[in-house]
Amino acid sequence: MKRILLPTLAGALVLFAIVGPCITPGDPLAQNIVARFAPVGTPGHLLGTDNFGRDVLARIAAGAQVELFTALASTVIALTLGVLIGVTAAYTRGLTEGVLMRGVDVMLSIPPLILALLVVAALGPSVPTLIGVLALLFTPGFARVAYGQTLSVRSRPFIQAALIFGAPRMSIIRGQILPNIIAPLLAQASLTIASAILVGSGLGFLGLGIRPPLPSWGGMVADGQRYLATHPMLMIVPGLFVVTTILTFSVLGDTLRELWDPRERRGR
Amino acid sequence: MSDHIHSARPAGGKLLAVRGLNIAFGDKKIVKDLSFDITPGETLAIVGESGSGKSVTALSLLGLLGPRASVTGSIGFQGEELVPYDFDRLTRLRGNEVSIIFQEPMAALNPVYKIGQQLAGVIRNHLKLSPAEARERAMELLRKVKLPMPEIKYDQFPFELSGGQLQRVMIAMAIACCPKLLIADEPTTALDVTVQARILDLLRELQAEMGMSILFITHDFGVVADIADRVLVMRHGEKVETGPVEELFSAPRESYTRMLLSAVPSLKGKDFLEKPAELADDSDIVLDMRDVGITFFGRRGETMKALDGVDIAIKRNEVVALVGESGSGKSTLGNVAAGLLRINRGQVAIDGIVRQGPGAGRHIHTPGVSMVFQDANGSLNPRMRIGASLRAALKWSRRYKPELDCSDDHIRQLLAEVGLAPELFNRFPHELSGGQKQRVGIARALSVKPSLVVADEPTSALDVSVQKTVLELFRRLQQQYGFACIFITHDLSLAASISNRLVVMNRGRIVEQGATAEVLANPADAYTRALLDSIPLPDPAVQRARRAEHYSVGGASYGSRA
Repeated sequence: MKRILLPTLAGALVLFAIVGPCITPGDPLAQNIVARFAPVGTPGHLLGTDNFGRDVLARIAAGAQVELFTALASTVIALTLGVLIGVTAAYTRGLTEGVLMRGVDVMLSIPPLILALLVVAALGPSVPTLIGVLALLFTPGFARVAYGQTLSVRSRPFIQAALIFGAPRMSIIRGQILPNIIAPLLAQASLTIASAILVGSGLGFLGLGIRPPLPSWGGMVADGQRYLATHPMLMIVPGLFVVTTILTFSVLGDTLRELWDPRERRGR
Repeated sequence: MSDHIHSARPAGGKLLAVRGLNIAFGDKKIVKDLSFDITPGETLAIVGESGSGKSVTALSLLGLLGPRASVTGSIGFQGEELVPYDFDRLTRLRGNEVSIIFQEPMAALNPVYKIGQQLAGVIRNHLKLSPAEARERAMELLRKVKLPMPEIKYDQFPFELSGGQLQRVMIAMAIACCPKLLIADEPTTALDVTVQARILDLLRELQAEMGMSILFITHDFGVVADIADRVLVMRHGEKVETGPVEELFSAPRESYTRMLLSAVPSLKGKDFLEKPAELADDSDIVLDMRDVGITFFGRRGETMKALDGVDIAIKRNEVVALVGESGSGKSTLGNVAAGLLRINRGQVAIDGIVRQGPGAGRHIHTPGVSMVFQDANGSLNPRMRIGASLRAALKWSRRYKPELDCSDDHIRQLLAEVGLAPELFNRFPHELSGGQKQRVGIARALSVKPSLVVADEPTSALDVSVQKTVLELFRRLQQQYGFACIFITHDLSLAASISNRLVVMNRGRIVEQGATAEVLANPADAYTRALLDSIPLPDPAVQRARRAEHYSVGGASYGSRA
């Protein structure tokens, strides 16, 4: 059940982010003061309109694109860097290991939100800056996981076997180690996507993420907050999307790990 | 707690009566319609291969199988029915009337508490004693199980004790309340033979003193012959046959029992005499080690000499068995030969390629060597199909030996050569049985046409019947290809059946070496003799005679290690 539902839901969210802006009626930026605060279910405005009369569904769709793109891009960058650092450190041992892993420890000791605020304040809010900051924040986590996993896989007999048959170092890393450490990294990646969305929305809420009027889910929650008493749906609708997306990607990791494992795939 | 001491086998009263026992996990039936009895003071051994349900049966007697198991039938203990389980009744029995010891004493003890604390804790759970009295009683028990220096060990943590000492602590815990039945689930399997012999002695003495019954689970017929009064042979969850130990060994009724007995490698066997001794002459030396030394450095600066001045030369077509107990350095020597460890001293030459210590890289690849591992499962990459694993080894080796063929057809042929179906080509390791995996390991080792094969306990994780077929395969291939071989084993009988030369190691040194038959017949070194004396032979009569002799010399003949 979980195996099918979650990837489907995640897929639907990604698909929505890609094609959503094309199929949803209305322009996310077009203001219409006359039609402001239309309730959910209004014909033509399925999820209603906001305080400027902009279509909420169209804004959600446009926001999804930015939100998911940022999260995925930063996660992929962090994963790549983290694996590079972790595997290199665990495989070479000695001085390189010390330098790399202590560097990771230093990075982990920086409070994430403060760093994000600092960089965004210095460089100004933009999508590339956001991706860069998020990638930087998530790299140490991946490096730690990759490092630990590589150390444990390295000591297993099949690595010794590869050494005895004269396998070159790169071949051992790519063919023997990577496939055996990827499962926990995938789980970590899905959690990272979820927290990237969370941090991205948080920054958007603080006005430091994606610059208005470009829609972001966090920004929409922030805007809707002002009308919480009279029009709660303006905050609830984008909030629900944030929650659903984070939940989906958090749990997706388990499913991906299971799908990757030949034991689980074939049954016993 | 009865005070009278039972004689070895009283007639009449039964302590435990199991009738029509069925145990299932989901739809999987593990034990089917099993019935057996244990009389007071008796030792019943349940023997079987892995998956026979012997351990599950033992655990079911104490209701330790967990909620997923469905247990039906009847377990009568002193006339009281235990099935269906009642938590209060089980709690009353556990530890007081029925106790259990396990295979891994290290895993059964809590690593963060001191030995004495754990033992005293168990005592106070069962008897109303003050902390001081519990300590007194714990100390008494530690002395009873002959733990050396009990006053010091009392305040030590489990990691500070050896495996044999930990098993003694477990036994002390188990007998704290003088149980009527002690369940011993492979209690000596993880121990060295000399230690095993002493633990078996201890159990026998305690039994005579306290008159308890023992249910002994094992796969080792030598141990059965040594300790059992009666034997129950199990297979696939069913009883195969049961009978007094002498009868079962001298006249087994069932063919399965006969097969198991014949699969046990025996020092008395004529195997090693039949081997052709067509050894190459001295010029054809494959491995030549001179004065090799390895020192490991501990965290607190202490040093451990894993290998200490080892000289050994192995010729083409020669099988050298390396025997010794854990920590003797036999695996270290194998790893050095395979190039997995660098040496601090001396030199190693393989096929004339010399490497010298100290220094050099962590791993030095020598094209002529390959290895068969103890952990067949761990030696195969779990993410790679069997065919891919074999192909990878061939591809790597082809950089040094361009003549190797790594086509799929050739790989299928390799599989066929070790008696595996070509369909296994596309399987993942977890889909194979232990024996099949080890066959793949052998196929991989031989695929690269090595001049030296290091086989590190290749069969010790396998059931006896599987072990026999894998050994036969290995021997056949060795004779066919004539590679030199280092066969590492802790099992002298196995060494006897496969090797031309026997090398006995102790504490990083070679203490004795020579033609296998000669060393076994006339061991020159005291350690070799102790090792030979400790092996329980699969013959109850012989075993009894040895035991009597051993007691008459006051137990001094056993090895020096505790």
